[in-house]
Amino acid sequence: MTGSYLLELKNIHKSFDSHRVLNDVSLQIREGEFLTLLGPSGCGKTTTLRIIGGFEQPDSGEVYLNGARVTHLPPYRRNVHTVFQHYALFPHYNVFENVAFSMRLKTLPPQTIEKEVKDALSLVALSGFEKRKVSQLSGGQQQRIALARSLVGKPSLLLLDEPLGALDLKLRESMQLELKKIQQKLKMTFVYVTHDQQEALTMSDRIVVFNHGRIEQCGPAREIYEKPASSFVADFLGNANILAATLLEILPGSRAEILLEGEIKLKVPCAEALPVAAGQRLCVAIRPEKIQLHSGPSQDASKVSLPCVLNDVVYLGSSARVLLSPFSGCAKTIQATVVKYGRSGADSAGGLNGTAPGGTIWAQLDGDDILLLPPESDS
Amino acid sequence: MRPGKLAGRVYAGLVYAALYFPLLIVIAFSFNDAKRNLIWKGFTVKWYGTLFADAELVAALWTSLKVAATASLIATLMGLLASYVLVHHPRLRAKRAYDSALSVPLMVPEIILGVGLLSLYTRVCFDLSFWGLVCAHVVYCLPFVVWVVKARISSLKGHSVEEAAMDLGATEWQAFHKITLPLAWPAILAGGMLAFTVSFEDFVTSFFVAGVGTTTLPIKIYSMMKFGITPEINAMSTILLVLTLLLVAAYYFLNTEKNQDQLPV
Repeated sequence: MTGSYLLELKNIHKSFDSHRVLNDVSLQIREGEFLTLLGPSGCGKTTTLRIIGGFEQPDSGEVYLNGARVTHLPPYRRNVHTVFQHYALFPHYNVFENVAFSMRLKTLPPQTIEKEVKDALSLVALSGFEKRKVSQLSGGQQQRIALARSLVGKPSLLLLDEPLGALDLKLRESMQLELKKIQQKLKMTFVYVTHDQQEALTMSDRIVVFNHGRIEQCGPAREIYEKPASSFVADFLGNANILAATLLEILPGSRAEILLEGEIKLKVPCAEALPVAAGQRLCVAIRPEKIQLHSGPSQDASKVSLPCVLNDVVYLGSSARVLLSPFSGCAKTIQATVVKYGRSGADSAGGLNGTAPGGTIWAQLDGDDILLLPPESDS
Repeated sequence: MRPGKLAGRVYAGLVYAALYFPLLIVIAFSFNDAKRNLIWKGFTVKWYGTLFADAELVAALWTSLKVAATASLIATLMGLLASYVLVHHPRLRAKRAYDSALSVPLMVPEIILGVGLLSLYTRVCFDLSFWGLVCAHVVYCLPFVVWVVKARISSLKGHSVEEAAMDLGATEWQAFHKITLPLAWPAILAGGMLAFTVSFEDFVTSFFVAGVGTTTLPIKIYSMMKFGITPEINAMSTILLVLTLLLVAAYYFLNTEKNQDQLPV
């Protein structure tokens, strides 16, 4: 049943020379969606994209496009275009011929080709570049031409393989917004591959997080950030302190009591279906920006205060990252983000109060900011 | 100048002299107005005239050119196909074995290739004629073509230009002739020229498989030497040398990045 999805991947498995790259990947993409495949290098996201594009064939599993099975169709028989990582422009053609390539193959009338190329170039803000040679373009311009070339055939699906990877930060950020704008304007479906979590958060309607050839989690950006399904997701999308805990008791009202690192008890919110039963081990994630630093323990009973040793402070410009060793016995280092670091007379909320590395500082946690996660698997 | 530096220069000078002096002697004495001796008697170009009056020599030159042209053309086509398959075949088993097997003729002593080809030809009663020689040269030239062409084709693959073409609706064949061929063209031409040079100047393999009527120029020169080194030999060698140098220069010119459509990095 392929339903009303534009693209559907069903139980895709793929190995290269006995090395398993994709393990039971299933995915549905709706028309008009901006979907990002996110993960570290070697996680299988690019292979997934190449299977959708027709450049690789899965060992097992099926690919459906508009309800039709396309698993073994070659790339030229799928109405899917790709923007390649290094653009793959044709250096022996000028800009016009690059953009016109797909239409020339269909032998469309010259007037149509001319109009379409013109439209595509104006869409990527490079009107008037028709006669330029590819080698005369900057990296950002080549990127735009590659985009124009892929958009021009009106594909039902556009695949983008880390297209901004080679650009500098400023250009990348402006291209991110521009890509999103173009996607919304054309109401086209984009599948975007990146290892940059910021890029994924900026553009995507939904994010699919890959790890070791499996889909770890799939959902809207906000949901993935706020309700990560695993410690990998919590750590990959934004930073997270992952700590070990034991589930003590499930309380009424979707709450649970846990024992954090075998030291402190605290009550946290939890989902209806917990990954483990009471008495078993699990993981918790705490976002660095949710930890507040104080010079003494908190008087607020709803919060937990941990005495920590301040190890180091990493200055990041708009904020600073503070590395702490909690509970004298715990080998782990936790990170806290301090926004107002460096201001004269640092304030008590989030400041370091002049604590020097080696000194003691109190990390204050709100139980509501703690995310319960399944225990880390050994694999 | 420090003595060490001076010694270095003298040494380098001697190495280059050892490399080029014999060639310079050949060229110089091809213009020497004296029959069979190594004493300079005066400048002349008459040996070049007598050279072209020698029907056997002209026939040998003609044979060499024909063999080199045919063999390099065949080797280039085969080399292009081999390179494309070696680079693009998705699941070619033992790809690396094929790959290294292709370059073995480069390393095997040529005399063994010659002996092998000769015994093969006599065993299967393959006429030791023009085509026998061409076949031998194709075997010998093919690795050179693959060496040059494969590098370019795999660099094209690295830039996904063929995949981009197929992505935009080109069949494999369309991607090959619209993208691969135009972009690899200078390398293919360079590979062909290298093959031509290798075939044209080949002596050892040809010596074994050349029959009556297919005497190539290097064999002819060798046989003329039985009567000593004559000025004609010097003249012929000079022509051979100039022709080879021109081809090698053309090869280097074609195979520079500047002359190939640059792929954006």
